[in-house]
Amino acid sequence: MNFKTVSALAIAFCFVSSPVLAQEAEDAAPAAQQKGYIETKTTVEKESVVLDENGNERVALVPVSKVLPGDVVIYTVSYTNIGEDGADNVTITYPISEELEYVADSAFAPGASISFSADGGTTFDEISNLTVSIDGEDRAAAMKDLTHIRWVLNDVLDPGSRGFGRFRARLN
Amino acid sequence: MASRFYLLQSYGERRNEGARMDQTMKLKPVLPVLSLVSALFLGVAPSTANAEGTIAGTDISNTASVTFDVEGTTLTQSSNTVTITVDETLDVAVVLQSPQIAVAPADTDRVLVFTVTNTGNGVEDYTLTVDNTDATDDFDPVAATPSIYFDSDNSGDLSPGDEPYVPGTNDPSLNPDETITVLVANDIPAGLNNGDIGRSSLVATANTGSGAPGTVIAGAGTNSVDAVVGSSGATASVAGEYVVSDVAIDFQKSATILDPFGGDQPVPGATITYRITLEVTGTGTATGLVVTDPIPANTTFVAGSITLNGIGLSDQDDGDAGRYNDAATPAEVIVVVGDIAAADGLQAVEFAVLID
Repeated sequence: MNFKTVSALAIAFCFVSSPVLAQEAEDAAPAAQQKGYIETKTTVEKESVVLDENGNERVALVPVSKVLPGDVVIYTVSYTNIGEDGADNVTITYPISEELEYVADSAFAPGASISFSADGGTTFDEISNLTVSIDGEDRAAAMKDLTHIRWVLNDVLDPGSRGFGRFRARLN
Repeated sequence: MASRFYLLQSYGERRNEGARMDQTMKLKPVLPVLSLVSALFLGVAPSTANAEGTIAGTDISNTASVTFDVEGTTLTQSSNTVTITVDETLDVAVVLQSPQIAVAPADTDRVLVFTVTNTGNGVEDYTLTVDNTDATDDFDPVAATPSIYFDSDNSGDLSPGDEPYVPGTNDPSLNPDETITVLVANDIPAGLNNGDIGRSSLVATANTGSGAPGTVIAGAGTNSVDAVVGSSGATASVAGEYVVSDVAIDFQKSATILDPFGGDQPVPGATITYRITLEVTGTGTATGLVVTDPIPANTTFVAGSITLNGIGLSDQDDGDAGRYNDAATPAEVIVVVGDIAAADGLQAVEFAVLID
């Protein structure tokens, strides 16, 4: 794995948003006695035009459970350290189902290095470094070949801290 | 410092019914050894790739996994699973397969060939109708009875075994991407003029619903997912065309005799030169014209004597249009004249025989 190049990619994301957000202490309190516990939650949403309180149209993310071929959906994985210890090397892996095609450049994970797999999660790297074997010949991986997205936090995730990663995918 | 120890878990899965959205799961941390075992389940799901999109009713479920190190121990946990269900798009495409069909007034059961393809992502039944009301053509073909057939024997034309279509009884049920061939039979009215054009359309409409793209028919799709009218409006109509064409072929044969004495007597040793002329009149093209003429008894074909429009043709079955076929009984001269329209003018085939 080429972590230097992956880190270079992560730097590009860092300026977009500050690293992990501090969480209110009371949120973490119920599970605080459990050692090393990170809670993750996934949502899937779709951009929809909605009317705000003034009757103006705006684009909002709304939860989606039904899709049609060609639709673009947005997956968000949020994570919170609800334990009492800091967590190192926090690595979040998300499968991209075969029916879904990752939308290029849509991955967004503040404070994390983003990488991808095109071989079912065995190896992870920048997309441009991934290859797939077609009829015995290696070729550069295309968006449709990606099987997993992964983000690795650059820093220790302190107790009570949280963050998220997000990407878009199009239904084939 | 904890060792770097990345564990990956994949929970991509697919179910064919029953969308559900699980609540956030709080899983107990698992030991690294167990996580290694679960990592063996990594894999790519079997292909369901489809040209027209993911099959309606498919559930796409995904779960995030997180690994992290705390005080030297690597732990793995999973998120809740989110599931999205693929709704059904209702779409159809109709494609004309026939060229313009040349017809004569009062012809019956003249057939246009169409294909109907399910371009949606679920199994769908379609209603077929014939629409002959085109206002811009010269005449309206009259739908025969029955007017629509399935090409049961895949001959590409109407055959005795082809199954007639009866609306509501044998509406074609097509899988996503599936195509069927449909034959539309029309009768041609009498009293038409040369060159008149008549159009006939095949209309295919999804039984589940049609109309404005985006219209939702709740619960009407495969596995009771919602059905959504696709970009085609879930109906398609394509016209085929008939042209009135009273092509006639004027056919003449003549013989010229040259006897050994310079006269024109049919005596042994005299040469007979046959001349066959074809001339096409009317509108349209006479296709596939072939002149076949047997060698008369008591005569012998003169080798190398075949001509088409004055140009010599070889006796062999080769690249040119003519040949002498002595395998036939009696032997015969064959000249393939081909497709001829009135504008091509008179076509003349000549060959010679010797009186035995």
